[in-house]
This record gives sequence, structure tokens and C-alpha cells, in this order.
Amino acid sequence: MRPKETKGAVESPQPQKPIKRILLRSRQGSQIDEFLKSFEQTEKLRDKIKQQETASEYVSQTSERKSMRRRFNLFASASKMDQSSERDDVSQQSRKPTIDIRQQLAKKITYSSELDKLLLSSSSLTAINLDEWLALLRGEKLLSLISPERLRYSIIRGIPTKLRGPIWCLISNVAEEKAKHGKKVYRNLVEIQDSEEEYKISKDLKRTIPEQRLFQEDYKLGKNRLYNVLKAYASFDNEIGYAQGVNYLAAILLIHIQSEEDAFWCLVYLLHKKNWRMVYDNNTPKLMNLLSVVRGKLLSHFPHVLSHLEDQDLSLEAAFSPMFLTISIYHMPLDLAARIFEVFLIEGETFLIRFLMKMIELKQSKILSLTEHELLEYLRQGIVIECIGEQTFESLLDY
Amino acid sequence: MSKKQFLKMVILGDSGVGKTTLLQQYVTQKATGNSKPTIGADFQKKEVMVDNQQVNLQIWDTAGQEKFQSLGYAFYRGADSCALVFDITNHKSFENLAMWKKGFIENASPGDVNTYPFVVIGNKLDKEVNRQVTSQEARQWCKDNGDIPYYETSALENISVDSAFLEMAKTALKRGTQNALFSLPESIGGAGGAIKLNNFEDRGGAGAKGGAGKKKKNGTCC
Repeated sequence: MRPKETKGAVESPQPQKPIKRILLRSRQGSQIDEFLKSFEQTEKLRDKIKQQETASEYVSQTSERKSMRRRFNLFASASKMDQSSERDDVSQQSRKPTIDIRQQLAKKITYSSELDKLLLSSSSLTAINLDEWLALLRGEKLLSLISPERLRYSIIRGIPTKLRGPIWCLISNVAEEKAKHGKKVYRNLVEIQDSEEEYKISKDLKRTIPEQRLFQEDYKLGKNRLYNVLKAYASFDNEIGYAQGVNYLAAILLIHIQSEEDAFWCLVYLLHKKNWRMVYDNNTPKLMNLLSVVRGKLLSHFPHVLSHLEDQDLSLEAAFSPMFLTISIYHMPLDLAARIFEVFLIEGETFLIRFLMKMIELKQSKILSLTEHELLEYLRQGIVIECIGEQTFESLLDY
Repeated sequence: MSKKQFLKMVILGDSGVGKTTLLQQYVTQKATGNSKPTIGADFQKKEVMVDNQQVNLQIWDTAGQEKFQSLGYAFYRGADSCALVFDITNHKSFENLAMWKKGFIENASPGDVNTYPFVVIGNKLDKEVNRQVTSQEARQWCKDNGDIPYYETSALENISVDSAFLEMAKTALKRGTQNALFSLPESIGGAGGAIKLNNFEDRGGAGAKGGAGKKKKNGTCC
């Protein structure tokens, strides 16, 4: 089993030009099929990705050591959990064992795959490799034949960055939805007149991700893809209409998926089929439920963290609303945001809660040391970036 | 009293009226005019001198979309002052002031509504040419709503931003001292003012909702 270098995928958004060109060529019909046909012809690109994978093996090996070290740390910290109310003890527990373990690891490095098996619940699974992904994308292999556990494992391990968009569409049954609804539906939804929604959307276009030129175009000319997708969704689901937060989901989709129609159906899958839309309903009922789950978990596992937040007069709404309403995209660098987004796509809301709890478990001493605005910023952003920088992604999901 | 004071303020109003930019201008003296839409809420801090007194302001900026209004209730509580902001180039945002005010009163338990330190801000004075709400109309609304002070600002060009926030701080302090006649000191020293007793709340009865959500560290006056 060769663990895919997840960190590499997160840190280096590759220039996507070749795929873009191919994707643009296949504007009509079953887009993925056509894309893959042309994709097959461009063996060069394929080789390139393979080369990148081989090149990353070296990194992968070294980072495997790191990740092992981290996992040891996790165990060490878990065993000391009962001291967690004492601030000093907590801050020491994450440092002290590191030194011994680093020495041990230098000797025991060959043991790593065994350790992997021991530590990961999905021990017998192998991640889907590039050839297999391509076969799935070409339709040569059916996604339904892959077990959900293996699919989940593969996504968490990391997917080839360049295939991100097509894989998101695959998971979201985009081709099927499109075939079911016909081609005109999307265009019609974009064009339905609704001045109030149009006004609301237009105000957020330029400020959603200001550094993305894609979203700065004039929406009245139909050139603004973000506008089109948001407008289509608002018309499709007029009970929810346009809700702030959805603009971030649409934006991340559009950054990775070339066809705005595909991005739209992906959004429908996420909001409608997975029922995430209730997060954006009037008075945000689902968000309130999620926050009360978080509160309950904090109360039973990390009551000192909860009372620290209360002492600081920081509500959970303030700290974690952006995380749920934008699936973290609001506060994350875009590459990291994509990574979190795709795990969410396959795992759903339980992922966000487990992820959050794991991070709080790991960083409780730091949380307790921060106050006021610093604390708020840390809970929204710093904690995620720190944890993903220090841990493997899968270890952050094992709460 | 020369003791440090702590005030919590909230800024409410429709999406896109310039709440975040106002706050950005007030706290950092610069504004880009292209701030991200606020999701949930955010706050900034600022230390100011009001009538020779050092005051720590904690100003909460909220999401403007109506459907997220209930999310703001958690931030309303314990607020000592509230700015209702509209965009002078958008009449709808002016009409919605009543809704924002109502939502605030119902959820912040602000005590005596008539003396509560509201401020109304008509923003985007830099877009005077597109004005849809006249000063007269706005002043009339303020008058009808309990003589609320009215400011016209440009968050982008830093016109009257300081004075609007200062007015909020002043009236909040004044009201605080009046209400404080029967209560304890307003903040616990050392914690930067983040923890405070809710002496700015109306202390009507023991069962009043005032200050819900606040941690009372050293017991209360009730």
C-alpha cells in the first residue's frame, strides 16, 4: 500500500491549463465521457501525473515517519487526557513524548505499515489509484462497485489534484442528474426573472473570493459563472433562495469544475440531496441543531473549553457558524478548503463535528491560553491550519 | 470614576449597507470597500477616551441577511449600544430599520427601550448622486422612534464615522451611570474588561432575562 501524499495535494495547487482546455472542448453531451476520451489521448498529461506521483514518493516516505510520530503523540496525549484540566500538564503532554518517540522511530521505521494497519480503522483498504480513478471517470468501471468504505478511505487519503473536479462530479452523480433533467433546465433556471434574488446575489459576487478573477466579470452579460450558478440554485430552490454561505460552496466548485452546469448539479446534490440546505433556511434550524450537538459534546468531553468560551463571552454561534455555513471555505486557504470540501462531500455533517472535536482535543491547552479576538480567530482559522499542518488528515477524523 | 470601562456594541442592518466597512474604518482608519460578506458575526476592539475616561469597546458586526437574524440573537445579549445602519442609496435597507430594531429589542433584553442608546447611521454618503433616502425622511423616522441620534457617514471616505461611534459610547456610558446607581462596579479588573457584570441591564426583577449568556463571576447585585 502506498499512501498517497495528502499534504502535497493540499499544498500545491497545480496549474490546470491542460485539463481546462480539454474540458472546454467538451462542452456538450455527456461531458465527462467526452472529457475522458480526449483525456485518454493525452497520454502526456497522464504520464506527467504519474511522474509527479513517483516524485512525491520520496516526500511520502519521509512524511510517513512524521505522521507516525504524530500518531504516537496522539496516543501519548490520549493516555494523559485525565490531566487535561491542568493547563500546564496539557501543554507539556504534546511535547514531552515527541523526543523519545523520534529516537525510537529512527530505528523502527520499517514497522510503519504495520503501525498504519494498527492505527487506522480501515486497515485492509487500499486507496483507489490513478488508473482506477481514470477508469471510473471514463465509465469503464462503475462507482457502485467500489465499497463506500474504500471510496471514503481514498478521498480522505487524497485524490489527484488535477482530477478533483471530475471526481467531485462523479461522486455527486452529476452526469445522471443532467441526463434526467435535460439540457435546457439549467439555462432556464439562470434566466428566470427574480429581481430581489438577483440583487442579493449581485452584491456578493465581487467580494466572495476577491482574488478570483473568474468571479469579477459582469453578471448582466451572463459571463459571471458564480452569478449564474447561484441564480440557478436560487430559482431551483426558491424556499431557500440565495443564502450567504452558499456563494462559497459555489465558488469552490467553480474553481475545480470547468462547466458551470456541472458545478450547479454538484451544488444541488450537496444542498438538496444531502439536505444541507436546511442550514440556510430561515432562522438556520439545522445550524442551531449542529451547534447544540457541539455544545453537548464540549460539555461532556471538554467542559473546561466550554466554560472558557463562556468566560470570554464567545458564543458557539460566533465561533463556529462560518465553519458550518461555508464548510470552512470562508476562513481557509483555497487548497485546504477544497480538501475539506471533498471529505464533506462524501462524509457529510458528521465529518465536520468529528473534525472539530478532534481539533479541540488536540489544541485544548492553546484554546485555554487565548482570549477575546485572538481566541475567536484561532477557533475559526488558526486551529484548522495548525492541525492539518501537524497531523495527517485521516488522523484528524478518528475522533 | 477613572476606572476602565467596557462597552459592548452591535451593528445591525441589511446585507451590503457597509457595516463591516464602517467598523473597519473606525478601528483601523482604512477601508477597502470590498470586505467579505460577514458570515455569522465578527467583532473588533478599540480603546477610546470618552469624557476623560478610558473605554474599551467591543463592537460586534453581524450578518445582514434576514434569514440569519436569529443567529445574531446570541450576540445581541448584553449589548450596551446598538447601531442601526442603512444605505442611503437603497430605500429598502431604510425600510428594514424597523425590523432590525424590533428584532434587537425582542432579543437583547435592553431594559427601558425608550432610553436605550440606539444610533441610526445612513451610510454611503460618497454615493450621494444615487441617494434614495433623504436626510429629512431619515431624521423623521429617528424622531418618531424615540429621538434616536442620526448620522450620515461614508465608511469609504471616513466621513463622520468616528463621531457616530463616539455618540454610541457616550450615550451608553451615560445610561450606564444612571442605571449603576444601584449596582456593582461595571467590570472586573485584569481581564481586559471581557468579563463584566451586566450593570447596564435594566434590573427590573430577579427573574428578568437581562444579561443572559453572560457569565457572572462574582455574584450579582440581585
